[in-house]
Amino acid sequence: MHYTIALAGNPNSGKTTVFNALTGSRQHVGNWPGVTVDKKEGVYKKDKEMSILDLPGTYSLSPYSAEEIIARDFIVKEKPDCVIDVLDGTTIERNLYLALQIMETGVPTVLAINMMDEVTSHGDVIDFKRLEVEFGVEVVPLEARTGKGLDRLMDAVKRTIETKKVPKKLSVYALAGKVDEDTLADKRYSLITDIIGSAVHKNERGVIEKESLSDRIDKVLTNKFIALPAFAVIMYFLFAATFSENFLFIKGLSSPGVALASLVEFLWGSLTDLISSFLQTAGAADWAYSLVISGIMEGLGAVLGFLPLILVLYVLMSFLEDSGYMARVAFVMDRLFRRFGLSGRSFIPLLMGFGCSVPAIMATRTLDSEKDRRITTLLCGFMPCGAKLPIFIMFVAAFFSDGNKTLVLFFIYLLSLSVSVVVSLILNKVVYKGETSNFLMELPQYRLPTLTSVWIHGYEKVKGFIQKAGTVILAATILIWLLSNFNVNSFNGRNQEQYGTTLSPIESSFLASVGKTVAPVFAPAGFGTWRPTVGIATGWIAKEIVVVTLAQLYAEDVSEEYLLSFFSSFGEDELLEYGFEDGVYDSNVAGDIYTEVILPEGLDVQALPTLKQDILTKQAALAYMAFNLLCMPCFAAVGAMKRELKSWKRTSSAVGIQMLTAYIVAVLINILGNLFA
Amino acid sequence: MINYIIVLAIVVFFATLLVKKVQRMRRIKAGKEFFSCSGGCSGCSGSCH
Repeated sequence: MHYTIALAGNPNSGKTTVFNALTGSRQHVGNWPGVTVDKKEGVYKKDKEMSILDLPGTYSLSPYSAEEIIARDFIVKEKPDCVIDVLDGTTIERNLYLALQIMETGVPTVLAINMMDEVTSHGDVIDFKRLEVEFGVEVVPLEARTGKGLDRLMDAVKRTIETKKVPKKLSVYALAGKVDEDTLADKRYSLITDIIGSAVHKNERGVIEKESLSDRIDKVLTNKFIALPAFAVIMYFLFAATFSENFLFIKGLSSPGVALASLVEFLWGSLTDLISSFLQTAGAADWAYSLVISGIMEGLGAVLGFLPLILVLYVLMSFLEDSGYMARVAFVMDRLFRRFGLSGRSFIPLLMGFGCSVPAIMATRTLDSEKDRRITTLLCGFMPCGAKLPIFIMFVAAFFSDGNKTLVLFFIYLLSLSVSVVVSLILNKVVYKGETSNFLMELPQYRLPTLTSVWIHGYEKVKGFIQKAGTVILAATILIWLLSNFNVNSFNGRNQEQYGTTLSPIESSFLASVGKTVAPVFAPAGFGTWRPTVGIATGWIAKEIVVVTLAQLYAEDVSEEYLLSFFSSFGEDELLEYGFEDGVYDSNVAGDIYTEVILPEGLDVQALPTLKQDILTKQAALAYMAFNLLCMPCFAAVGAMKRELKSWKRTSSAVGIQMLTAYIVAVLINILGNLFA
Repeated sequence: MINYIIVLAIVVFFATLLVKKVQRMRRIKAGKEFFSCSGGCSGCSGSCH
């Protein structure tokens, strides 16, 4: 016999934590309301006959918002075998309103009173037996974060299903449809107050005399004057911990992200050397060697080297999310966003866009107004998602090695938010004229994130990244290599006659021909050459591919000839200092020393010469980063936009606005940079 | 010999990708997977993983 169990409850009551614990899933959990925007299904890990559905959090079953409609339709129409209503024990009165509505439907219900650790620490006492008698359902105490009470909860669910126990019919249920909604809500709250009065004993002294720690922290972090600077400082620290080579202002101390990245680069470099020796020994042809080493290993290595940085950044961000701080940021941003025609609620999808645009765009469906939904969907494309990060890191390392890298990266994030508010303001004035919806959000208690939660975030990020590297990025790497190493003459024998190989010079490859046609468009932005142009286009498959493309197209910048000429000016002592054994130049290690020591420390003022011939100035480099930040996101995100905007016409318009914005901003950066440089 | 192995490996890789793509489109049609996914599962609210 197969059973369906639905998890319902108020936003941020811990449903997804219960869902993950019961099914062994790794669904995203965040300490803010609205993390779940669609129902999710899993199987109970201890009984495969039980399907568990995680419904979006709602405060009631009134069909006003998308989440409420999903939850209500499922409970009323699908009639699950049992509903587990997860209640936040610290705010049980408000949570019971939804519980009453669920029980009113007559579906077998179990009430799980979550966050009992916090209830106990407040000194409150809940009489579960009394609640069971009042509602006629089983009531179970729970600490979902630690898993305490989960077995007891599932035992109660099994008993409820086996005995087909339905909730007690309360007199208030009979009023539905007979009185207006306000009166009905009053009656429900009166009943809840009566029941709470006898079943919950609040530690009143504690509440009156002592402010909670959350309240005290909020007095600072949500203060009218301190909130935004505090957010800027916290985000700056986040970037410094990820990218800085002078972490905590200590010269030469690498941040955890940079230290890990060096390790990955070293390991990948060693693997590449091993494969290179093997191919040479095995007698691989020129094209086969070039494909594997310059194409696949170089291309994938360019992306994988950034994985540790991305991992550290997102683990730190998830720490902020889970602590409850990001919910405060949405609240603080409401003040700012409102001036530009959006509510603070729009900040939540935008924040999710720092990770990936696809879930961010999906999260826009939680917004109440159509106007906010459309604008926020468009703005999600401006966010610096994880896939864009490698582009920024690559350019910052190449062009700003002598300055403050963290500050440049911080500027990119600031630029994305600034452009978002300006575009939002323009759209509000010109296209979508209408009222901004109100923003009501419950601020969750600050909580110390659990290691499990941080592990889930990190694991999923790494897994997703490696999966992507092994599929779409690898495929694109091979295709880019083919297009940049072949032309028509590869197939009619002319290359063989002229160069002694079927491969074409990169400047006359298929890719160069296409790139050279489009490139002049970008001349006003400072990067009107074919290689950066091709990079932008390949980035629409997945943004990481910009880096793969550039790494392949500029591979000659770290060619053996270049390295030999670069190190030829070094004396024996200097060669020894930089890691050459006995101070003697060795072509086998020169590449590694160049990419791991010389480039990061900015010791080669002519670094990446061809790249610097194409992108001559720092402002042009910044313009290129800005264009990639703001232009059309990857195809997957465009698909998500179409899904939420529900029309190709609206999607095309949104993409058009993104491209135009990217172009204008890039040109402005280049022109203003040239004026002030 | 090594050249043929490399070519074969690449052909197998692209064929596998194609098969997976077709299977995925079928799952999407059956409503078991989301239309768009960039592979960044952390933070995603989709029901496919």
